[in-house]
Amino acid sequence: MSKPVDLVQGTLGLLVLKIVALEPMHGWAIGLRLRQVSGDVLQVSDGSLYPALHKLEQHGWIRSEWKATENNRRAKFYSLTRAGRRYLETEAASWERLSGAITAVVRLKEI
Amino acid sequence: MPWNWHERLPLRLRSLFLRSQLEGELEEELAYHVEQQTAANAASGMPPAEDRAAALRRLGSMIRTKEECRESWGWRLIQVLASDSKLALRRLTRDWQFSAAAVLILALGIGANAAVFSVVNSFLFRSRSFPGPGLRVSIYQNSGDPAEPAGVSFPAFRDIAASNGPFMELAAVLPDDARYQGPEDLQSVIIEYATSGYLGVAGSSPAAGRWFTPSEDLAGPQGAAVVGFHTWQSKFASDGGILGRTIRLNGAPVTIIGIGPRDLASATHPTLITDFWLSMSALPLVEAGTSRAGILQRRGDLLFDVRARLKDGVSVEQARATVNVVARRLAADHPDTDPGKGMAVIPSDEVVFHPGEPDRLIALAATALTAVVGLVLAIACSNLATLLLVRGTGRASEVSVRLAIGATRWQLIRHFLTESVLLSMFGAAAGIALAHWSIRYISAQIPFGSDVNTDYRVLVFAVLLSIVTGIAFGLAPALRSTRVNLVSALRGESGGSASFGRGWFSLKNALLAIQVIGSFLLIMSAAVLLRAMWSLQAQEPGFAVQGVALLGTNPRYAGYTDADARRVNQEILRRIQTIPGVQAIFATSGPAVGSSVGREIELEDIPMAQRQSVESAWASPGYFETLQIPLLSGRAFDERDLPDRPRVAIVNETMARQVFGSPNAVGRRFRYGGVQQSREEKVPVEIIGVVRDTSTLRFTTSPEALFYLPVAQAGVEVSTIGARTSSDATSLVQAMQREIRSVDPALPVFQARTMAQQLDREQFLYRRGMALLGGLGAVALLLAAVGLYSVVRFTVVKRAVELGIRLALGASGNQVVWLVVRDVSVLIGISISLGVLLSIGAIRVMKAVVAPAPGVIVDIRGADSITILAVALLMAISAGAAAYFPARRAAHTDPLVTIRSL
Repeated sequence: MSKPVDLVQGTLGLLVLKIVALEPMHGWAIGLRLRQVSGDVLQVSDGSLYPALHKLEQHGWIRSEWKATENNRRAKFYSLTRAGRRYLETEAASWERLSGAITAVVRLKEI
Repeated sequence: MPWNWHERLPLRLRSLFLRSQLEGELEEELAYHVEQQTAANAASGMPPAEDRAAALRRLGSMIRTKEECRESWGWRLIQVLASDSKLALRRLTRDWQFSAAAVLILALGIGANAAVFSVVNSFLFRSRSFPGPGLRVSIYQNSGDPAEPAGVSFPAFRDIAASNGPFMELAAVLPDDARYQGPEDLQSVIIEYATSGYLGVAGSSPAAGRWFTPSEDLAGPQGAAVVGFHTWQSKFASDGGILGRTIRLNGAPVTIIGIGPRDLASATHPTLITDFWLSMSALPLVEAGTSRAGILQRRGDLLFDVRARLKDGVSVEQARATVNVVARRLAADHPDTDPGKGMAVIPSDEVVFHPGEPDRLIALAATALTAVVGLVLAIACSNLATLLLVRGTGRASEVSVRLAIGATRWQLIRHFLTESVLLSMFGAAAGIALAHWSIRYISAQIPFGSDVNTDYRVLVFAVLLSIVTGIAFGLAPALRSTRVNLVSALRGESGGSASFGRGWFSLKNALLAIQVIGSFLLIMSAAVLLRAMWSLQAQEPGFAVQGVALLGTNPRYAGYTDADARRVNQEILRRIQTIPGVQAIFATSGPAVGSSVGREIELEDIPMAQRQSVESAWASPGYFETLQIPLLSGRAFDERDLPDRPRVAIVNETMARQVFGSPNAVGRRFRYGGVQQSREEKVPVEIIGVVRDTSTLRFTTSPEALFYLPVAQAGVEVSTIGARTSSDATSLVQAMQREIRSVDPALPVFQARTMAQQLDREQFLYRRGMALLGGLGAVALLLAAVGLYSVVRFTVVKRAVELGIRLALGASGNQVVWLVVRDVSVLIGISISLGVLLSIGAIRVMKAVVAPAPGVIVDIRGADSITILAVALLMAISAGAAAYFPARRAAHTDPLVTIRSL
């Protein structure tokens, strides 16, 4: 397995929003899901996940709620707000433009 | 605010007010995470002893994670500010001497400035906007020099009103003071005689009742009064039933017909608070028995202020043209009484009190005061800057230690900044308190109901300036100190930067020099003015002050007829004569001293002689004896000088010399009358005596030509009784009041004071103005002394290590002290020399500025060199003491202790 990739600055928020958009989730599960989805390529340290969550919450893009987990433990679940959904859409679009452009440039070099 | 504020606001508020709840939740959230991770680790086959530790490791530093979360909650700034302020406060209290000096400097600078400027502003710069269309102008008759317009006579006002000029509203006003019969006592009040157009000019209307009608602009049997709004509140307890009530002013009945506008104290003078407005019909009644009784008919008495509101769109030039037509016709119709010199129309914005000399003087005084005030502020700011800079350089090692243990540069700058801002804010608060207090004090000192308010623009300006100074100069050392080389600063090498020996042209030395020079200039200016005031007080009044008491009374106010009033006055005089210790008494009209009426005289025996303007005053038998004004030749007034006897006058020596060309003018004759009265209308008198000059109390240096008329022949009523005792004047005042009450308890006493108190009142404005300047001078001196002392002391204390090394290497204590004193002396000596040179220039300028207003401010005599020397000596002593004492202390401490203390 190749070395895990460092996250591009500012993309952690986008990833978290995208994951939370699927269903409300607590912090540990978000970290787990992130690793699973990216096939362990994207490594997010647990230490930076929580500050990111709190920041997103302060921006009003996600909201938190204390709920019981499947094994009946109290945990803080994060879910996407309407403002968060709008933000996610614009951010995802701009990310796609950016990554598409980068990909194009990178391929150009290979030819 | 972003679009989703309704989502964010509750969170923000929660993070501000429910902090502990938030902390608990964070704790729980992270604990849950660790728990989950531990379980996951265990599931992946980790040994039970390691699973939890591994989970914690994955999370990284728990404290840092928490801190980063907290940071995202916002409001961190407030918390940081709070903790920074706490730290700054602790440091400021530790350096309490520095803090006290800085706060004192700021308080004086801000407080004195705001107070003085507020007072000046209410006299000079307050712009009064009156509602309604059209330009407002003031109209004056020229009597002599066109640059010095006089007022307008009432007949001339009526002619202007009848001229069909471009006036929307036109009003004549005459301010005066009067005695109002209150429920218990007689009170002095400010009145304005006003015509029906007055409120129209001001663009206002009465709060209740009505204003005067044109029919009340003529002399009539009934007097009408409108009570000022403030007076209605204070004297009549806002009584709505006051309309129609009859009150007594100067003993005459007038009927209250209205309550003045709430927002108008006077439409004529910016600082006047009018108690009662009276109709012109009230004037002959209220002024009965005074020289003003007939002024509504006299063309020679140019006394009224005329204000007009021009029709919309009419220019001042158009109004001037109309008024000039009136002026030419007046000159043609009344060649004997009209000055014939035209009229002036001036926009009211350009007039403060009266065009010409009064306004020029006010402008001059205000400019001088404002300049001094600005300098005080400049000195205060430069003092503060120097203090902060010097203190900043002294903190290099503190900064180094803090940098070494991990403080960031931004944190350090923030701490310094917090400290400066905090200091400035304390100073500003103290300054605002001082300003508020001194404005209240000054307002209370002004006798004629004046309206002085705190000028918030200046207060805000001074506060802002001080805060900016605090930030700028508090930050400069912070920026510089945070760039220091850690190692050398820790070794204490940067301490040398505060030494006087190195870098003569350092910022600090320059600041110190500027401060000395600036303070020097300021103090010199104040000192020169104070000397002028002192020389005025030292001036002999020319009449007795010690043991003289003055009492104002008028039996007519108690309902006596004129004939009875004379009898009662004689009885009062007889009884006062019997008070033990009384040496002489007199009874006259108006203030006994310092007050005179301008008259025009013509010489009896030289028919074509030019008309001359000379001052006149009233006197009576016993007047010159009581006031100990020496009679140079002839006789004083006596009981024979009654209306049916030949008219007589006594002149002072200046009049004898100037008008008659000889010190002995006894037997010469002249005619006197109102300005511009015809020769026939003037009263012929014969001079029976010549007396020595007295001070006019108007701060002119040269004595004025003056003649005295006997009260009995002048047709004015007695209102002032004076007496001189061999003992104490204060007890005589009380004894005289007792005697008056023993004649008739109903007799009013509206003035009871000693001559010393009377003099103080007469010279009130001048003295208070001087006191204000003197106070500012004292403030400046204090600022300069505090600033100089603390700055010099600080720099010397900073050299303790260097001195310790010198001592350790074998220098004697005296050598070390001498070294420090010498360094300081050279710097201060150069600064003082520059200050002396500049002061000499400044005094020259002051004299040149004062010169255009001759005879007003007592001439600044040549002995200024003594003042300069005294101030220079004071500054030198202050700096010397600040250098000597800390140096001696350093010399007497064990050098090893000093060096190690770093």
